[in-house]
Amino acid sequence: MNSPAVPITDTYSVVAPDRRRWSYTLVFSVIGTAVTAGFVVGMVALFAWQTLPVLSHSGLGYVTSNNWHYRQQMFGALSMIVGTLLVSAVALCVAAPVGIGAAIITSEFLPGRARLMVKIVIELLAGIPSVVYGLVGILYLRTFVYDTFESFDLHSGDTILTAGLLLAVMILPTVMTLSDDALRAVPALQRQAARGLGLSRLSAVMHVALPQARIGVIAAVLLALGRALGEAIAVFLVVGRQDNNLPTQPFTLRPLLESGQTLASKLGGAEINIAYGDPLHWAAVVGLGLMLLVMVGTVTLLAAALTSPKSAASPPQPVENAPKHARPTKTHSTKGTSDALLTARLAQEPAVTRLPKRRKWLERFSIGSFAACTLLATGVMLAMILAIFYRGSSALSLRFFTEQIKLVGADGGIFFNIIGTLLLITTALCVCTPIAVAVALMQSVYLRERAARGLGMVLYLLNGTPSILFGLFGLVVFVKFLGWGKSWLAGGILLGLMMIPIVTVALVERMKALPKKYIEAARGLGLSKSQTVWSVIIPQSRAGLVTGSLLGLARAAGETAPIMFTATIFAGAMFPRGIVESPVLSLPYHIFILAQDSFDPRVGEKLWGTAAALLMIVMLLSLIALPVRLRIHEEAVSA
Amino acid sequence: MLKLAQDSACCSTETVSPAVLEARGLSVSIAGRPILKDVNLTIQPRQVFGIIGPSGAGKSTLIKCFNRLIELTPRAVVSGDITFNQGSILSGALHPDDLRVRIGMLFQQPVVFPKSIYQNVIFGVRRLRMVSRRALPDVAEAALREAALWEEVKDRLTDSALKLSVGQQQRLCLARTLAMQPEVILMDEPTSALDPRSTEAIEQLMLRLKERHTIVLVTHNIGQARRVCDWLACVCVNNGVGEVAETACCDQMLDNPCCQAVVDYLKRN
Ligand SMILES: Nc1ncnc2c1ncn2[C@@H]1O[C@H](COP(=O)(O)OP(=O)(O)OP(=O)(O)O)[C@@H](O)[C@H]1O
Ligand SMILES: [Mg+2]
Repeated sequence: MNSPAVPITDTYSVVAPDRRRWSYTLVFSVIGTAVTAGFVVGMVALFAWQTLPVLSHSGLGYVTSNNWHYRQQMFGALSMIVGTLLVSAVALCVAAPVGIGAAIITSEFLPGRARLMVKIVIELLAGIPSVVYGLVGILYLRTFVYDTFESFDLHSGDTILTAGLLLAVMILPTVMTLSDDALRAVPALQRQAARGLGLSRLSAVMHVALPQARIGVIAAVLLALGRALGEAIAVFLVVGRQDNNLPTQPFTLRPLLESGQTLASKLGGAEINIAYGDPLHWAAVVGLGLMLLVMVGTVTLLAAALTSPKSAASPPQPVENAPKHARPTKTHSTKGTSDALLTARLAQEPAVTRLPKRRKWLERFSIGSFAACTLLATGVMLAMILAIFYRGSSALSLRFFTEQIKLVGADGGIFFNIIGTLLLITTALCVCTPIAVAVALMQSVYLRERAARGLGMVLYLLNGTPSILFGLFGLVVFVKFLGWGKSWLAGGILLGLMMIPIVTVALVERMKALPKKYIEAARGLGLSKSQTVWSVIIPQSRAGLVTGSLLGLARAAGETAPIMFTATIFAGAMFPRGIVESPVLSLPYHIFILAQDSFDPRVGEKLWGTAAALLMIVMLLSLIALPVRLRIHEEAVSA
Repeated sequence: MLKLAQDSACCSTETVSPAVLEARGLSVSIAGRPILKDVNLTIQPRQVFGIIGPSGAGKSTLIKCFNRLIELTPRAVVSGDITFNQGSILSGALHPDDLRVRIGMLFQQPVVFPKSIYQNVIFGVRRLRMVSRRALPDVAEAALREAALWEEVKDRLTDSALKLSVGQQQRLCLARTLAMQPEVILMDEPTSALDPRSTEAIEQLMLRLKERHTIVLVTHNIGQARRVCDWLACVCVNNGVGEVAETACCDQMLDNPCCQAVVDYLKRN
């Protein structure tokens, strides 16, 4: 304490700091970003290139004619395009109102804690693998549709409507969470000012908060639409997969009650494996992927453009309802008399004569229906989880987890399926983490506004890309070009690429929330940019990395589409020995195959057991991450 | 009670008319923490009633009680009573939304909606359908004139309100409130975000508005209090809880305060 003041240079000597001319951090960041952007560009280019033969063969007829008979070399995809649009339209018509209504309740009416609970439930709903949705669709929704529309004399419960309703449940979380975010981003002061004028709580929401959040809400619906357009697995299981079935009676319910085919469900079918032998057929199949990519890409980029900071900073200011007869200013000689006149006028002619008109019943009805939306959304979720665990519980035993599959799924357990899935997602994590860190650094440290926005668009696009297209890409590149056959490594890489946007966005959000003063303090000590990255930014963003990775892993664990052609088989694989021709078993693919013939009751039991096991893994991963993740996210949104 | 009697004695020139707003034994706590304790205030019609006091004492909380906007704060509990024209506002006879129509409010930061100037002025009357559609332009003009903004914006009513300067925005907010013809206008530090000229404009307005309205003004600016207020109340912190230390007519309070807390507060300003 009382040591004499020693000049600091006497105690030790310092050397000039080591300054490199270029930084490894920047190189690392550039490489990761290049890989990501290269993948997106490469996928588009690859699909376009591989599609060329069918375009020169069929011309415009490829999209305008309705005849897909590959044995006769006829490829007209119209019915699939129409099917895709119909299914998505049904999904959107259900999910948009319900999701927005529920978002109004969560963001405007629920107190903090209840809100968080609902958000967690909804995010869990978002995390349920699509193959599980498909399974629930097969066993419950199909029957429900069949029974409800009995009078229409349906051929089966596999209809466009069934697929649309299932998709509605699947995209509901997207609409709801993003609309909720948009509403929360409207400053509380705006609502308070409206309340101060005497508007009721609901009017303040409807006339102040919602109009200001409209761009975000539209973007939410667009992103949900993108998801609906691209969903393959769940739709595949319930849409009936009827080729060339173009609706003949428009403006009736009939087209919705027939089996159909969508672009994505076609790509999920076995025809893909046949197609590779014939260049023309293959081109036709990849063309479907290209169309899907264009549709989803357009919708996603539109949403991204709407919500990009530029348009948010200066929201479009429509010149609205000017006074119908803008009156010429009355001329008053002096200010004093003007005031006197005015006061006199106001005194004798009270403009505001009526008391406020309030329509209480309308208000109650609206709030009631919004609340019903919230209950519906959360109720569906809880019912699904309960149903799966209830039906799967009889299969769950120690043996089920430690034995291998026997009798085509009717007996034995899922040991190697679990191993396979764990191997796939571990690989995915190893692939994804460095790239995501690199991209996040590029996005939040190195790039300035415009370029950062461009990179944000790429991430948006990657996030919106339907998972079946990752599968198609993998089939071309890994299985065929590189000649790996089905390989766990290919599956891991594809899943890793899929995870990039999830992890990156989580990291960027965290980095953005990092108080500027820490960075300034570090720079003030003379640390270079990259030294600041490793000493301040990355350590402080760990929470974002961990939670983002967990959510990404949860999503990767449940994906079927990227791995079904590239990495996984139904039976007969154990621990992989190499890379080439070394597939693994996996949980989602197991469910996907068994769900297609779930009539054997013993298979049914194992099937639900597998679904329960997969759900446990997924929910565990998300539940560890969600509370922290949501908190970080909330801070980022309201900031 | 004793204090009040003494206060009115020292400003005996004041005519005694029925109070517009009256707080009786008002206490507020937020999340279990007491913020205000046992506040008694009487606000006479057609005057500017100022509330001063150190930061964090609970002035904003108090003023928000008068139009029940405090109820938007999560976990805020209000006890005691407030009467508006002799009727209790907490009893439920008057719906809080209707109360807020008759007791308007101006915030520290001007809060304009991202709409046109015209739409901002008529926002409340239009949403609550208080006038016929035809009369809306008249209402807008009258309100803008009353807020001394008409001359500045009459040629660009359809422009975005966000383009106005902060001072103009605050007067726009005032016009928006005036359009509803409130009896009382609550103002929570309405000029603290403004430049001196806009501040002067708002002060002039207050003096004019008090011919027809009652104004409750929270201010940190002693000079402003002296210029516009008729009566003053000083909210001070006592044992961590806000209390009304003293109420008196303006000059009495500023030149000759009785309470030590007020003396300290005035000395620091
Ligand atoms: N929403 C809230 N939650 C918890 N405490 C609050 C909340 N709002 C205000 N308080 C507390 O109530 C007390 C009074 O706050 P208030 O804003 O009324 O003070 P004030 O006198 O207006 O201060 P200032 O002059 O700085 O505006 C403060 O101690 C504040 O911390
Ligand atoms: Mg205040």
